[in-house]
Amino acid sequence: MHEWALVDSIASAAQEEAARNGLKKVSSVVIVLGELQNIDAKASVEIFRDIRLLKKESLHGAKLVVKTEKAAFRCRACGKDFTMRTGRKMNHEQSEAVHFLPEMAHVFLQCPKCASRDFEITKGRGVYIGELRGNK
Amino acid sequence: MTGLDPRGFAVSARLAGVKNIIAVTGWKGGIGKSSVSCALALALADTGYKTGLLDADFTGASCNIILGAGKAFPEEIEGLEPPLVSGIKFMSASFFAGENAVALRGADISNALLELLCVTQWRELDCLIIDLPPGIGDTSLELLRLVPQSKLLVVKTPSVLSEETVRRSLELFRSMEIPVAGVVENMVRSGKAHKGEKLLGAIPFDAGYEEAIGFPEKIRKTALFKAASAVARKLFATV
Repeated sequence: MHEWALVDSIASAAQEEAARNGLKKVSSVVIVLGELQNIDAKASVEIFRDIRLLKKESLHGAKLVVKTEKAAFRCRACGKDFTMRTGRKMNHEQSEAVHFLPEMAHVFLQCPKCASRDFEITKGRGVYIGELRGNK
Repeated sequence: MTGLDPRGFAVSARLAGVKNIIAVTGWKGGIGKSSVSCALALALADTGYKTGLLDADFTGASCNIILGAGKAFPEEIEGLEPPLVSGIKFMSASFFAGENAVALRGADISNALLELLCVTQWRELDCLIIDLPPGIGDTSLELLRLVPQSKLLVVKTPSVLSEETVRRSLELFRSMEIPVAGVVENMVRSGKAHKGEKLLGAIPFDAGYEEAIGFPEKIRKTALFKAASAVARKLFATV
């Protein structure tokens, strides 16, 4: 599934970051999943369990801990702050497109005040690593 | 450590099986970069090379129209598997935007390119053609940062304006140590290409090309395609 590629990138980033920080064993990789992209948290944890074994040994015992973040937007035209609940709603097909490529939000969402599609995704876009825990 | 974007860590792995990456660029809009990109990709695929095409012109995607990609859509297999369109593995934001216009600023363009490079499974390819938007802006600079093994193919037209911008761009690429695979002159009406640095060939202006757009089998019969095939042969000898 699509999540595989993103989880693989998380594992690669974690092993490189661990090496950079001198971590011999990574106990957990805390990731933050943005509401906009709507990545499947449960599937990500399962994929990580398999992928970690393909990476360096420092990652073999690591757990993937998932946190979520609500999406937030700021209109560049009028300055209005809005969210997935206060902005225009997307249908299933549009949500799928944004799931694969979050920048498609600019195609399917609009500022609820001035209808502009020129807005900044200030929070909750996609996936990032929030924290890496382990032993030196 | 907080807020590490992991996507860039996967780009080299996604492109590990790609032998040659050719990014098609040009400093002016409307000079046929997308048509040249598609014709080159078709020519390479017809020759038997495993070929991919990434339309990186997010706000002006047109390769899907040129190739008549229709309802083709990537499959979810360890990421996104590009669909085969006329023998070419093809990826484009148009799959997700559908019939809608796309308006994106710089940071969003960089994010979109990084996302596609992270999730697209090109697997084994002899050549990946990347169709860039005009000029050296957000997409091109981001591509050259993320995929430094890219070689540029510069498209120009027989115009003083194009000639001058290409001369300046070649100087820029040299100063930035960006490899240039060659230059192609497109829309040549006189039948004779201007001479120029790194010129790989001339593609004649083809009045019948417009009718062929959307139909790869018709594109293969155009003068544009025949000339692009000759360029593809020289290009592969170069890279």
